Amino acid sequence: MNNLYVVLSIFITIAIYFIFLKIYNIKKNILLHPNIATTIILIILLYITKIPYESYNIGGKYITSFLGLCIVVLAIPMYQTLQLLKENFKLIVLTSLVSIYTSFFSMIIFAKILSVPKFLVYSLIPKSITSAMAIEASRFTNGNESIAILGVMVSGILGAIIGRFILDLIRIRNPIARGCAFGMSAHVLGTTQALEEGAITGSFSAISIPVTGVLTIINLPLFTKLIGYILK
Amino acid sequence: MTIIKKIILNFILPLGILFAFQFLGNMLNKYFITFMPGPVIGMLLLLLALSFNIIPFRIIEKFSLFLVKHISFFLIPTSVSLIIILPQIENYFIRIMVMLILSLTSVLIISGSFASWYSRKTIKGDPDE
Repeated sequence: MNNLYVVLSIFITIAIYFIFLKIYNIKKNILLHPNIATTIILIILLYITKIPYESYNIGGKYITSFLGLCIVVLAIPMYQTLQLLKENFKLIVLTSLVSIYTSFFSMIIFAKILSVPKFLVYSLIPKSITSAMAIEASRFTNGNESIAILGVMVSGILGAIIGRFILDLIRIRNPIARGCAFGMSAHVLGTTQALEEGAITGSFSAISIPVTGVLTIINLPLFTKLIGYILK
Repeated sequence: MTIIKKIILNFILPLGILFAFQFLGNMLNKYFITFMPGPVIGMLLLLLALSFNIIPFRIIEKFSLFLVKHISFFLIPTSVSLIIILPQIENYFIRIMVMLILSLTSVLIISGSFASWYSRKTIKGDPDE
């Protein structure tokens, strides 16, 4: 019976993912992004069929076991854009630091005002970095992986939808600055929008993703300590 | 014979290299660099190895680019676990959303403005240097 669950859940996940991969290639709507659409469809399926998540995850955990590999392989896009990073090293690293401290302190301030408990904030710190790294980060802060993913997905979708609007509103026209803002606030999903604006915006957004990820992770020990002091 | 060779070169060798770097990262995390997750150390080491041509890029290029393209697939089971966690955080849901929207807006405005200011400053500063 267990073997059947393994095969079935892996097969269904792959099938739905590939259907949306094809659909997304035709219609580039952020909600049709294979990751988001497949997740939503699977949640609806589990909800309707009343199959517990644990049964699905018997097979699902085999997929998840490649997560570490997915982080290692991020070296490839970084290697391909290394020249761009070298040429704009100061700009990208400084902006990335500004963005992660803004992300962190704005969260702390709003969490304090809205009295969001700290166990949630621990998981939400890595909201602006790419999901594979965010999961790793949430393990590191003893947060919850699912809540971390929630933060990452919401930031990504919102960033892709309202990012352009907000940047237009504050009149930022420099494609480099727009690219950094997209990649540093909304990771991969922001980059899909940035790429639509042009090559420069897209590549700066893409290079921002691993840089912001690594810098966030380096800052995690400091962030977790600060949360412990400031929030209840 | 050629098919086996192809499988080894296009699939097993690059996969092996990636796993080796993950393993190396995990080992370093365990004994030396405890403040950084193993796979992130592995990623940085692979980047170094590629830049110094210790590992030629073309060996892992095809397989890695395929994997990079489909990273989000490997995150789906974890994302589906929202079905368990959402009912548990129901009471905080709206507050979390408000917090995320406000924080995202702050990041967009401040990092966008900073990058725009900084690149203008460095372009202006160039002639003086």
